[in-house]
Amino acid sequence: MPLTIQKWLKINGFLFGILFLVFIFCLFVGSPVLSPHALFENNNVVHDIFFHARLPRVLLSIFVGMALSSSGVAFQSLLRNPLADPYLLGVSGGAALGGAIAMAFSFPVPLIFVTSFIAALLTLFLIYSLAQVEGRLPVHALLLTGVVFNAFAFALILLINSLVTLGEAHQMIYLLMGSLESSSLKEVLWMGFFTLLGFSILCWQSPRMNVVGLGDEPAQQLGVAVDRERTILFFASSIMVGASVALAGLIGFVGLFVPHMIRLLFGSDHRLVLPASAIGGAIFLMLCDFVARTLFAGAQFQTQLPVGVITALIGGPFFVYLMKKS
Amino acid sequence: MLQTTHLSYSLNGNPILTDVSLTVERGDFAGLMGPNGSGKTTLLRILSGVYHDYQGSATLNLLHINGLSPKGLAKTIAVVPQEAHFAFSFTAFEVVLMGRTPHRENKMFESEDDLQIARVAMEKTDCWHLAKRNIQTLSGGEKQRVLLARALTQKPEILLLDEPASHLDLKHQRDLYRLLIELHQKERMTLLCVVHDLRSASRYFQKLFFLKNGVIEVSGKTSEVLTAENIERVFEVPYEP
Repeated sequence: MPLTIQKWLKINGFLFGILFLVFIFCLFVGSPVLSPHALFENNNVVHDIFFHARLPRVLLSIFVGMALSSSGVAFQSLLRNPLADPYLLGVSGGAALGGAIAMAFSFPVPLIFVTSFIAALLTLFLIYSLAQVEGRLPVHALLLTGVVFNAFAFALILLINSLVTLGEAHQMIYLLMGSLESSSLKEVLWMGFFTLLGFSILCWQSPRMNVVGLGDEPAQQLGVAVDRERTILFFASSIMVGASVALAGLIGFVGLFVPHMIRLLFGSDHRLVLPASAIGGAIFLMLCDFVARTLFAGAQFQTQLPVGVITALIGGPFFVYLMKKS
Repeated sequence: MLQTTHLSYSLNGNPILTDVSLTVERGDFAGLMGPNGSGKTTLLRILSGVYHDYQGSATLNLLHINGLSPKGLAKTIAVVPQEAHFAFSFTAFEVVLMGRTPHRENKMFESEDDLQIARVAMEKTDCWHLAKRNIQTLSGGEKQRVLLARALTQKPEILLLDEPASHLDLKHQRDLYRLLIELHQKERMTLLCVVHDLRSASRYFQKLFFLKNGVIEVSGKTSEVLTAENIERVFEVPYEP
């Protein structure tokens, strides 16, 4: 009944299989539908769409979904709060502010990643210390601090936005909307690198995450150096949130919705919840983005829906339900 | 052996413990008594390495507790907290298995040994039948037995207990003390236990410390400490044997 390597492999393998099927589906189905045959027939149009639009976009949704879900799991364990989410905590907002500043100075892409990462980390420490009331972290104080910080970061981003050129301004609006469009394959592979780096660190820490989720005092008494653990988890999740916000902007509720579903299905052991949520997050965001890019893809519509709209439409009501329940 | 000398601790400027010097020898079965807010839980937290910013010294086998790693400390001292809040729906068995954390050397999964140790601990505290239950849905007394099992799973030399009987029914109170006696006699475990019930204190404990307003008022052999005069002075109630 407790977690064994067999159970771990079985569940993650199963989810990975689904991930693979959804990946293949999303690569070829959409607007336009691409045929795998055309890809091998050196059809230039299909080839270009596939490698410059479809593949980077689907890969990006996988990495961003992984990053947001697994950092959600880390925050939930650290804050002992199943309602924690990088977006709701204001960490994404902080990262977006960092990204906007980097864009305003026309930094190259790797430097935008770094700036977003540092901004995410600073925000995390700030929110963590602000929300603390006499050594405790009350749920409502935490969420409220996050929401207020988000509003503050948005205002600053819009302020910067009105000071920069039109091209950069367009890029910044994308940051706020949360969209998986228009990243090059190279940028996406960078994102993949940061995601896997952060994810590996979290996986390595996942046995300790269970104990950290009991609270500082019990964790200490069970032999976990809580301060060190917290620093590691903060760094690893900031790397992932920073990178995903730098490329895809603010996409909310993924880190809340996916881990919750995984816990309902497979229990609360973080050793399993973490990788399963990462894979689940990738599947979830791929599907959300599939809906986003196909829903209004007909000729009569000029725009595509940002994927953040879909995740918020699912996550918002879900959050209210969780609040009522707890 | 646990020892404090001239130990003082204050929180936000309020003194919680003042000049506490006490010794719990290896193999002691000692009780810590005192009115609410007298600093008993704080003392246990200092001894288990949770609070570091105290004055004076606190040592485990003559080594400063502040200098020991949390892992090393957790292999020697286990704590049964008064109560615990669980944010996640772990099963009781998963909670007990977390007691193996200090013994696990970077291994991802539990060994057969770990499972066996946890199971035996749960059988001893009569909660093996709760193994698959969600910890959040257990009653106070059931949770207390699970927490005791978790502490035993750490295989400690010293067990610190914070009112372990507070939520237990009569039968489980009796069973708890039987188990503590067994741990003390068969496994030579050292026990320091916060207790309120005078009857249990006089019946089971060899040594008692009376704490009041952060100061050790009386300490020594149970028979010498439990006098009408001491009880009236520390607890401010008339003593009726």
